[in-house]
Amino acid sequence: MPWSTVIANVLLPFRIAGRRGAEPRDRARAALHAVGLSGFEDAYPHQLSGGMRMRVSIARALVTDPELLLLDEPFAALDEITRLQLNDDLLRLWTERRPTIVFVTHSVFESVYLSTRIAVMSARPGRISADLAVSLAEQRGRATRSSPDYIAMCDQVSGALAKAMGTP
Amino acid sequence: MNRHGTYLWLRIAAPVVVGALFIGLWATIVWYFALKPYVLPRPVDVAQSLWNDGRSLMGSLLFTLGVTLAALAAAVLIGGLIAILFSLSRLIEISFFPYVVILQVTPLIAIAPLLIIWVHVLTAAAGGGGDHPMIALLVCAWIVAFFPIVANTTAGLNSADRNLIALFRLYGASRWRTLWLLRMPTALPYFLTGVRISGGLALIGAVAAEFVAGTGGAETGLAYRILEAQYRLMTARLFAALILLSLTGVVIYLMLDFISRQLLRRWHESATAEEE
Repeated sequence: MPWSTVIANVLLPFRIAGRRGAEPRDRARAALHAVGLSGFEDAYPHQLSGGMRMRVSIARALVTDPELLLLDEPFAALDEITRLQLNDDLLRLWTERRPTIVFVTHSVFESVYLSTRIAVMSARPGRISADLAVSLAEQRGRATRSSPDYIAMCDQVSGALAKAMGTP
Repeated sequence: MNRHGTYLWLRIAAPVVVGALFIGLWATIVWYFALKPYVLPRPVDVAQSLWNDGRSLMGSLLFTLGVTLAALAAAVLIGGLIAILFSLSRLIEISFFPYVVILQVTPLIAIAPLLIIWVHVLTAAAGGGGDHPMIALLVCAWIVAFFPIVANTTAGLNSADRNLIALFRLYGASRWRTLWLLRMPTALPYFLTGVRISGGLALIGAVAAEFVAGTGGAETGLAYRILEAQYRLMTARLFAALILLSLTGVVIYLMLDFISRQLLRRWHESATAEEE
């Protein structure tokens, strides 16, 4: 919300629930720290870049410590560099807190890099046409992107996607 | 910074030069055509009238200003409440909005005589002696001032970001919390635009109503002084009253603009764009 500071935006779930005080603030600070935005608590959204705003939304989603995160193309509008950075951040958050994350993306590489399991969907009607397990190690980084396993997995997902779209 | 400074200097100097040229042209025309002072007084005569009648005109100005500001305050309060009511219930909005429009499009001058009769009767019945011209003027000015606030604020309350509305629903926000935390901040810039428009309209309403009411007696505003000056062909005093009215309008606008900027300074495009 453009009229609120970063910390107030992250506190929104608590304010909606009518909770105020020190404990929500500490949790908001922790969530901001987790997405790498410590020190920007009192900034306004218009002072932040697109990637930082996205981090604020993620912090707002994390602040209630959910067991399930639904992310619908969260990084689609960001540039490649920011996107890769946020991918790594998301992986780190997942390793720390272990929520279940359902992540919708149009990028094959993103899906393989982030997931333990990939569901490929066909368009109109939108059905799950393939359900693939990702057998890469959970610890991922730059090396992962050039590993043979990663490339093979990307190939497999691309194939399943092409089949789902009806273009063999 | 330097360019900005030059620009600021120009913003003050350029209108002053235009104003000086205009006054010079005015004085020349009066002199060249040897115009009678009741047709067009010299700028000096107007200045003299401002100086001589300043004290009595200032009293009238305060009366008009009082009516204007009170009407504006009532418009902000009642207009804001009506807008909130409209945003809470679509049924209320579609039922009543046409009548708000009718009230707005009917020329105030045409409603004013009716209002003056009613206010007279009502205050007489309430034991007030029936001599409360100020209340009639207030109602008239309020009628013209409240529409922009209702229309703008309603639009603002209804234009909250769809995604944020969905987010609030996801977190189980009540209607009041959504109103307070989401719809009202969204509506603030719209509301303030409405208030800025209403500030000017309230002054117009106060003056127009006074023309109709034509109140004599102890409490008279600038509009009555203009009529009086017209009857007596004291054109210089008429000009003086006009200048005071314009200045009042400008001051009201600047004040509202300043308040609006202060409120939006930290986040809204209209107020933050300049610093970047």
